Amino acid sequence: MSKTARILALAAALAFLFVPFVTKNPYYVHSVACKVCIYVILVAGLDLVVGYSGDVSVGHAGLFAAGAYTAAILVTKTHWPFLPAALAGIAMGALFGLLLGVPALRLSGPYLAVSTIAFGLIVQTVVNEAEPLTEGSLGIQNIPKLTFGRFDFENNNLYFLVYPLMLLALLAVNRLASSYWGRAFEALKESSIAAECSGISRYRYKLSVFVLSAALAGLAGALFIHIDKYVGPTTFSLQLSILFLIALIFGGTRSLLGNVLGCVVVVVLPDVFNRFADYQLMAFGGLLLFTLYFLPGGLAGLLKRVFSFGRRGAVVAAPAVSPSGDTGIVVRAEDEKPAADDVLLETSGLTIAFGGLVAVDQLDLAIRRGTVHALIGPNGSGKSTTVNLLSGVYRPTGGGVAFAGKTLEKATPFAVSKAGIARTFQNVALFGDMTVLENVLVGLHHTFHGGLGHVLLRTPRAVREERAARARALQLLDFVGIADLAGERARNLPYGKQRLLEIARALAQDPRLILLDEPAAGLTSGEIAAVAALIVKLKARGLAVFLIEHHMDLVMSVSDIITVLDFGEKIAEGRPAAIQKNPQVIAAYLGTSAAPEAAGA
Amino acid sequence: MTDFLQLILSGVAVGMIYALLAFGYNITFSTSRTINFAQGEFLMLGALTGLTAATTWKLGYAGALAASCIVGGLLGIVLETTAIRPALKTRSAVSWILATVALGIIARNVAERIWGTDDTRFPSPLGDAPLTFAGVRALPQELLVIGAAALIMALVELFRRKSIWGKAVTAVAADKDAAALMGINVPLVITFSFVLASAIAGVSGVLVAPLTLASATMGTLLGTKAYAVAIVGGLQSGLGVLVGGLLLGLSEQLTARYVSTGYKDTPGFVLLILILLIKPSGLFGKKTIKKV
Amino acid sequence: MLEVKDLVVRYGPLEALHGISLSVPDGKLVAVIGSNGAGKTTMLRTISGLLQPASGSVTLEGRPLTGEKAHTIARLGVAHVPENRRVFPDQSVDDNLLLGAFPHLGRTPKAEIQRLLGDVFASFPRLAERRAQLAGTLSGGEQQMLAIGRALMSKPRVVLLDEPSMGLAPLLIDEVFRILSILKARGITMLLVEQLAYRALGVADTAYVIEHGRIQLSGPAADLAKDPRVRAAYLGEAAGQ
Repeated sequence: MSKTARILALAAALAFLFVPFVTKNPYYVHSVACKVCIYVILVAGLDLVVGYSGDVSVGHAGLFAAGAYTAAILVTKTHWPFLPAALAGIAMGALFGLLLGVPALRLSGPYLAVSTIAFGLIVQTVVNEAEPLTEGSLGIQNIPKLTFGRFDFENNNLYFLVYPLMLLALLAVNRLASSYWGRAFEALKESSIAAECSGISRYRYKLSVFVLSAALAGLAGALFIHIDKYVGPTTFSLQLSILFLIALIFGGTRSLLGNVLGCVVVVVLPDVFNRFADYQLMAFGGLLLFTLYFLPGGLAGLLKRVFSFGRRGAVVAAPAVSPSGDTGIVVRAEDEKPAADDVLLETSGLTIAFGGLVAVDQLDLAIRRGTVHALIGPNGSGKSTTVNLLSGVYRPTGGGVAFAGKTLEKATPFAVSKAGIARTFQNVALFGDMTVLENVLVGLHHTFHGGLGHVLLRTPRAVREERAARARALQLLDFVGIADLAGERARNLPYGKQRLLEIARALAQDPRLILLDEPAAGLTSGEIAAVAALIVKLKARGLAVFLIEHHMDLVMSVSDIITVLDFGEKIAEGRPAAIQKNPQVIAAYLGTSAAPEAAGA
Repeated sequence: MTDFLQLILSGVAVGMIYALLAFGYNITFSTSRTINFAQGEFLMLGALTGLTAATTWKLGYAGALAASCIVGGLLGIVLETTAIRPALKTRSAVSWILATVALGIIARNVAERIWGTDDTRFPSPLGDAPLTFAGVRALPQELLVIGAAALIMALVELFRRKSIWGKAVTAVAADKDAAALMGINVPLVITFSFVLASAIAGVSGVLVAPLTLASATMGTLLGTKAYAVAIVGGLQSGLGVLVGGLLLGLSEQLTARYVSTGYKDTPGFVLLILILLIKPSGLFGKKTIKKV
Repeated sequence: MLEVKDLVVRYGPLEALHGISLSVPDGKLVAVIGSNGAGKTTMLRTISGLLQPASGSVTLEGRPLTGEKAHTIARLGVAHVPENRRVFPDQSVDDNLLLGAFPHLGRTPKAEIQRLLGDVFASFPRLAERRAQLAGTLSGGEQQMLAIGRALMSKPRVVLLDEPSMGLAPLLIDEVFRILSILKARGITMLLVEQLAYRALGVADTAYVIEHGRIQLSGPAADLAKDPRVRAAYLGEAAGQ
């Protein structure tokens, strides 16, 4: 955000605090403005799930209900004061979020959407049935006054509680989203495999996103009961969950302004057009469809486009690269001795079968430190499968992988990355919507040690870590030769540069071994020469490189040793010159010169 | 004992309706890898159109079935062209889920405007006098539902296996590129699968309405339970949705009888979440390997 | 006659084919050979309409195919036997073959379909024994025969074959190439894409060597079989010497 935009936002935020002084009409302040604020808190949380994490939740009304009922029961039955009751509401929301997040670990798309719908309906049923606690369909009435000492937050004064809380919630979401947490969410959304291979724990961040989102929904629920001083089960219907989604999508995901605008629309519109209340669902449904297909960024996206019109093409300032000439590559002390050639990674009898098909069969490989080891073979010989096995994407059905004293055959991609193996992908798997710099920052995820608290409070440590990571990311981009593109979206890069960016992202993980899966595929001959030079530079710095490639001139020029696969089995291994003359290799690639039958027929 | 048998019978009848709706999800999921989150609302529109056809236009129950089938089929075309096809082009799961949800609430609102918000009795063509077999009383409509649902599923399976068009649908479900190479118009087959699934949903509405009541709100819960059934059984398995539907129908009746009628709607969802955690591909589903 | 002119194909920012031209005369078997990643499959997928070219044209007997949908191109007489065979695994051998006849099923008498089926079973007796079996349960070699048989059912004017030897054991590879030479003898026009260069050159009339999306060499198959540059295209410059 630019400085002027920041000042404008601050001024607007302050100005809206005075709403209750401008109009004393209790309907507008109490019923409309307060409701908008509470919805915004929830929708900002929903944005974490939908906008940042890319999952659809049609069950947020259930989380909202969890917070509302927890707070309502505590203030009416056990006479807790507001604050602890609200905290309990948040905690209950978070707990329910955890329950909702567990399926999200394994499911995506329609499966997850259906399970969130089911979750919402279960909550509604339980609320209806657990009469001793919830008063069933009657609902909980007579919620006590909300007071802090002598000041009470009743009627229009409620606004002075919910509005600042809304601002805090928005601030929290904004800080989270712009930190390494937000990058982790987005990386998992765009390609969960690439994110895990870049050292991000899917488990941790998928659950976190649901818990954090649910905590905000719980807070919203705990506040909501103070609008009508009543809470009943009919409020928390499937329709309400859909309404929140409409607010989010129509306002525009991943935008604080969008969250606010969307909630204003869903709360105010039915009021303004209350003569047409009977057509409300139709209008909202139409709005949602319209937004999906004609207004992809929602209202906020539209405004952004309108206001940035003319400013288009503003050049992202070419980032200054540190004059020290530091490459940003961190080599572990034990790899710095150039003469090293002891074994870094060793597989023994590595095997994987898909159904009846054995894709890799009893493979023994030894990759030595500081060498370039190539793996070649005809189509379908099991090369990419081997990379997937070594990087933890596939789990072998037999055999072992030892890497620097650890066994990795059962490790997740995340654990493999942590152990010191980084990889690139045959079909470039970048985070296309993120910038070039952010892609490398995802690879630097492991350099962040300040937890959630540091991020939300933006402590000096969080600021320092972010700054250091950005500086190093630029160095790495400079090392692969694309620092001038740091501010560009990754998907807009030419293909050759995308391949280089993937290598930079892999290097960011401080690997001891880097797996390059066809780094030259689709490149021009000039670009291939650049990749070759890069591989030589990496080797010179003490990194081991495992190279899968079809461009034989590249393979032959940079490799120390070549392993040849055919039908998942190793058929040859040796120095490039020997491999080129090996009759078995030639037969595997080119076939034998005509079998007798073929000639005779 | 007779009480228990009666429970089973009601459970099977309602279970067959779940199975029928879930069968529709199964058809569209196999060709397009999407499901229609408005399917329950299509059932409701089928029931209400059927009601109008039977009572206002005096076309009888057969007329109601035909009307619901036509309305369902038309809705399938609308849904596929407005919500599914654009989303398949952008390959965004979020957009087709939300687009079908949007069409669902629009459909519900339309129904409320045309037929009002009250529950209406839908007379059964076979009357409401229960039949008694060895002490077990059964509503004739329950037997009709079981028979008709089984017949529809059998016919669709027969179509899939025996007719060349059905074979083409199966081919598209298995491999779109290879199907196109056989000269099969893949987008047309996908549209057709939505027409078929939606027509089945419409007919299900006319089948179930005499047992419940016809109203603009009747579809949402049925549709949602049918998702649960489809996922529990395995979205790709025809046998799975049948077993899943019966399982759900029975467990609901048993819950209502032995736990509490208020919790009648929960076993399906609990079952769903359990299955998703234990075997996400469903009881009869096959595991797929994601290629990198 | 199938003619490909200056075909350029892109996947997003990646240009996979940089202008390929070749022609397949009627009744001839033309081979396109090259290492994997060279663009062979992309070329076939573009000819049959599964991919749209960025520029260039494909014509069949003078009629342009570019811009048509895959199912239309299939109906115009281009039968594509795809990489990895891609039979319909949950359908029987019979059903797979019937689907092969789908492009003309509506206007072909039953007897004619039976005759076509009979022809396929005569060429591939193994399939006749397994008519009712699900295609997914066949061995790799049998699936390849089924894929070829399925293509023949469409009464094609030209058959595109994408690496029919892939993933097959050497004995089965012999069998596949024996079948190709039989089909050639029957006068069927074929465009064969193959990695196993010497095998393909053994059956082809003419051949093209494709490397990194460009045609590097072309000529009569017998000449190319002796050309050391073919080996260089696969295993690097040094291998050609």
